Amino acid sequence: MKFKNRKEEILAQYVAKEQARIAESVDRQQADIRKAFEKPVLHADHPVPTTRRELVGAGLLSGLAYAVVPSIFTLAAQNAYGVECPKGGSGGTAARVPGYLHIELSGGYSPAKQFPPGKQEAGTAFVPLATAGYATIGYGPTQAPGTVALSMDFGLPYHPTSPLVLGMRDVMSTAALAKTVASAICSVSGDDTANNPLNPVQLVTKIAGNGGSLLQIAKDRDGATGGRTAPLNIAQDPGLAGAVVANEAALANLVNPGLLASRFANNPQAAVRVAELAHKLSASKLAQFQAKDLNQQVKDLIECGYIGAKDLLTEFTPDKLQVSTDTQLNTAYNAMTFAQAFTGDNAQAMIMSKLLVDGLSTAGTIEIAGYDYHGQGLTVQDQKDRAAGQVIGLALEVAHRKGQPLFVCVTTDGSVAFGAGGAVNDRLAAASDNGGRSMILMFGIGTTAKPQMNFHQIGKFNDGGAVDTSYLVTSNTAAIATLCAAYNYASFAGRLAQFESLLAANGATNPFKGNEKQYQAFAPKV
Amino acid sequence: MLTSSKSLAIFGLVLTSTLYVGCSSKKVSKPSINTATTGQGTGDGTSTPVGAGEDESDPVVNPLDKVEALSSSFGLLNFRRLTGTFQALTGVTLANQTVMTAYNAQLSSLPRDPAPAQISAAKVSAATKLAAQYCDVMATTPTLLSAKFPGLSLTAAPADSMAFAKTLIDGFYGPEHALQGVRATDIASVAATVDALKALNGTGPAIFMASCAATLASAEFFLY
Repeated sequence: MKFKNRKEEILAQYVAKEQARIAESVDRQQADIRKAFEKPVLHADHPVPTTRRELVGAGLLSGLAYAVVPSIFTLAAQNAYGVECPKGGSGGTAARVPGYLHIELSGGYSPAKQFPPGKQEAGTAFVPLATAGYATIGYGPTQAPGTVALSMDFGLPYHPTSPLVLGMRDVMSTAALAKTVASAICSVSGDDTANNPLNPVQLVTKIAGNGGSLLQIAKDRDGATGGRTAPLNIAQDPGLAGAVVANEAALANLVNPGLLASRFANNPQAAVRVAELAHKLSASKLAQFQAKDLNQQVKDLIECGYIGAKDLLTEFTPDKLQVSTDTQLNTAYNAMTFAQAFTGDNAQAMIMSKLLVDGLSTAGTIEIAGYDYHGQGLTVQDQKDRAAGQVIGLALEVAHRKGQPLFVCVTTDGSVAFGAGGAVNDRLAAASDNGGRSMILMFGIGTTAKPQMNFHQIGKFNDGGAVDTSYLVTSNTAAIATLCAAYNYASFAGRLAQFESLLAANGATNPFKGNEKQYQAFAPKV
Repeated sequence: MLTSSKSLAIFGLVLTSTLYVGCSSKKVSKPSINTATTGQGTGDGTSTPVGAGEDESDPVVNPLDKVEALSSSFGLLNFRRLTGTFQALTGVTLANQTVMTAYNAQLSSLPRDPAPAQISAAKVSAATKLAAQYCDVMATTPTLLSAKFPGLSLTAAPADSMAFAKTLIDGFYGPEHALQGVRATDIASVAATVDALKALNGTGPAIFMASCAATLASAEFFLY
């Protein structure tokens, strides 16, 4: 804009500045209002609110008119998410799709130290890195692959001193080990951050298709995936039926109607009536929201919550869900008694694995903290890696005992680099964060034999001991590496067509199609 | 790099999910993850010092997260607001040991996030069972019952289901109508449930507890 004189220009600048100040002030006021309404206001000299209006006034309930933001509804309305109420799955053994267990080791452990990668291209024989490269992932010259023979039991080479594999061996039977394979995706990820989109559990749940009869996602913590790391941003669906399954008590509580049955001589029909009434009253309320243009999909989600609650309260009994009452599982795990094995993270892995292989859940996430362990010394690091191995091993052993296949994916945020300090017999200690040396590990156990594999290592490392980021699209981006893990689950489960169609439905194309020789480690189940 | 045009299509899509971490990435082939100090691909072993730059906090809000996209000014009561609301409606406090026990049992399943898309059957179920405990104490504590519903007797199953339902709904909903479901419809729904519970040989306190729990756990109160 041109101004006639300097005075006019200054005046225009002043007006613009004042308008900006007012707009900012209004924004701040709105933010303050929203913040204030988050907290109830219960004054000591006021009576406890009892009517709806008093509750609204106290912030225990909120009024609606003040805060309706059309732009947000418009935004939501523009996204065609197609939310549907989750339907109960088969629950039986016929045509059950293998379960998917996702384990997040938060903090960045060293998968490369467990399964030392080579620099070979996909499908060719293992080619060790330079000795100096292995020093950066935990092994001095006398322990480096090439000097020490790697073990090949799982197909993917592992170091004979790998604490993670030793942990698996602590708890897995010979028969279970014989049916287990491993694969790795060499890929960088960010250190010590929950921002890596490393959890594909929502996509995987939709790939699997037939929901668990109890849940679709068993979670370690509240949230979309049940883990700490960010979800893969494809086929996300908040309508998937999930619940936090922290321990057996939480699992039992999930399905126990409590007073709703016990006050009626343990007649579960009473709980059915209560759940149905809550649903009817909610539908009545939501009808009013609809009239005020509440997003239909949010409304559907809420109704699904009420419909699903009835099933949770009435269709299951705790004894059918629990590990401790399952005679196939309530026995020793090698040298460990059941009581020794069934604690902490191990117990959670066993609970989730049982849910998965019994068809009660489609997928599960366990997050285990404390893997930002660099600088804590070799002993602590070995203990943590071994503990992770026991968690993985117990999940696989449960699947073996139940005669079902299972896919376990292990991710971590970043990784570590090793230094000479604290080394024992040329086994080095992790000294610092280094996400350039990370990998995603995948384990599969078959029903009666090892799952068929095309190859075992996706991507490669370079002689410097880091991921070769110039090789594959999975090497350099955590999101695509995570998508590749979901792709391999789909192959393992015989659901590649569903993988394709889900990507297509989300406006994406399968980046691995035509490049199976580089990306498809698990052979398609037929 | 082994890739294709198809690869790049999906690459571009999923890349958006990582852009928010703040790593500028003008070239498609660069990862947009926070690895600037990790030395990836160089094998030089350089890295961040022990303990530096650690972020053990919860994930930052992903602007493309679907739950976030479905967010609105409507929301779920979180566990604290839910108990506050139940307390205000029934007069029962967390000082009551049985309620406190029920609260602790349900806590991990109750909402923490107000986003309505975070609702689940497990959360509704947990809220219903917690409400049942509040309502049970109310039903068996005459002073609390008479304070909220003067004259209501639970010595026997309600003889007049419709009248009982009207007392219940009017008492809990209060005089406000604008934001609620149709009052007559809701009263009829409660009355039908009372009839069904009577058929299950429910006692007066049990029928009150069950009807009260369903009402308190409904979207009328769970959703704000």
